[in-house]
Amino acid sequence: MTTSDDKWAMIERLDAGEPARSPEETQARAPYERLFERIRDLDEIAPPVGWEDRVVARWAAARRKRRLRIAVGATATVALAAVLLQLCSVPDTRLDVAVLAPPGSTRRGDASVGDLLRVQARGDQAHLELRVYLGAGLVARCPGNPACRRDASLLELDWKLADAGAYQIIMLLSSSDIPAGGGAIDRDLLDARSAGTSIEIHHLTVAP
Amino acid sequence: MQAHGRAVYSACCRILRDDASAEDMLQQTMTAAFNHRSKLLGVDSIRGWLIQIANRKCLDALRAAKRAGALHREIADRDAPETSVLDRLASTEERRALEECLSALPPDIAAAVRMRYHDGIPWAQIAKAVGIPLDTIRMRVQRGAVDSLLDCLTAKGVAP
Repeated sequence: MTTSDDKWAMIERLDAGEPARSPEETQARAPYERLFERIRDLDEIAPPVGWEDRVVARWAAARRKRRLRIAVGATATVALAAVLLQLCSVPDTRLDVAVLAPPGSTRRGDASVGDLLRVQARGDQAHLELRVYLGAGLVARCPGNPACRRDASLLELDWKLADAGAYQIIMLLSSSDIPAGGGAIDRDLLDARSAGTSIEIHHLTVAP
Repeated sequence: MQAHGRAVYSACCRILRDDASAEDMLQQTMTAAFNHRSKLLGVDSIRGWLIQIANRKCLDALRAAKRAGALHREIADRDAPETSVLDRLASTEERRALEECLSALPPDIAAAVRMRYHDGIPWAQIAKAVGIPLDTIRMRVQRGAVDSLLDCLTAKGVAP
């Protein structure tokens, strides 16, 4: 072997298991062959007793942990979906007010005497009530009025606006009994609020 | 698993020089092999595959320990090898000299030398295990480490 390149080529051939190309190469290979043989013959030592059991225990523990993680992940996903569903669901509570003018009448402002007030209230709790106040006094309530219709969680009231003035259409919603009211609006609303009733108010001005 | 425990443990001992860390890596290697047992159908040699995993894990652990510094000084400090591990790895003076010469090489190069000439693992798999490109690791071993080992053995009185 005269150059480093020759030597490296020789080592590569030896590494690849190729036979020596000349007696000189055989001689040059000898120390490397002995080195590789020594490395091949390096001792191996046994791991501490019981290592197999510890591997199995570790694997089993990792598998349990992985399954627990999957279970926790799945539960969290379901819980999150439930919360999102709850947040995204539109609450089934609504007050709709419409004023219907009689055919052929001339519209002035919001509403006029002679128009028909149509109120719809939808609530998802046990007690639902509609009230119509003119000024401070109660003029109609539903249920409790012949013009009131009830269909499951929907209340509908048609009320002819016979007088001009400031009307307040109120939806009362509660899981417990709603105070009867029937007095002045301020007193009624105060009582209702004290009883934990939720209140939604729509204002309407009716022109003569 | 039982058949290859010695080979994997010895490889880890040589890299980490610490019994407890070596057994930890042995367990990690076997657990990883268990988890990826479907790959076993595609490997030529289970022993080689396990040793390749073990070397990669142990070299990673050694690098991590070096980064962590004082936290893992017991396995990171290659200048103060655990003599009891070396004693157990080398049954003769000549083998001890070879172990010491291998210890003097960078850990990834020494691991590559052992994988190639002790375990007969192909260069491509060695390159993956040590995380060095194929041609680079082969050149570093064939054109550097091999002669360094011969020089080291000669210096220790072991006839080349």
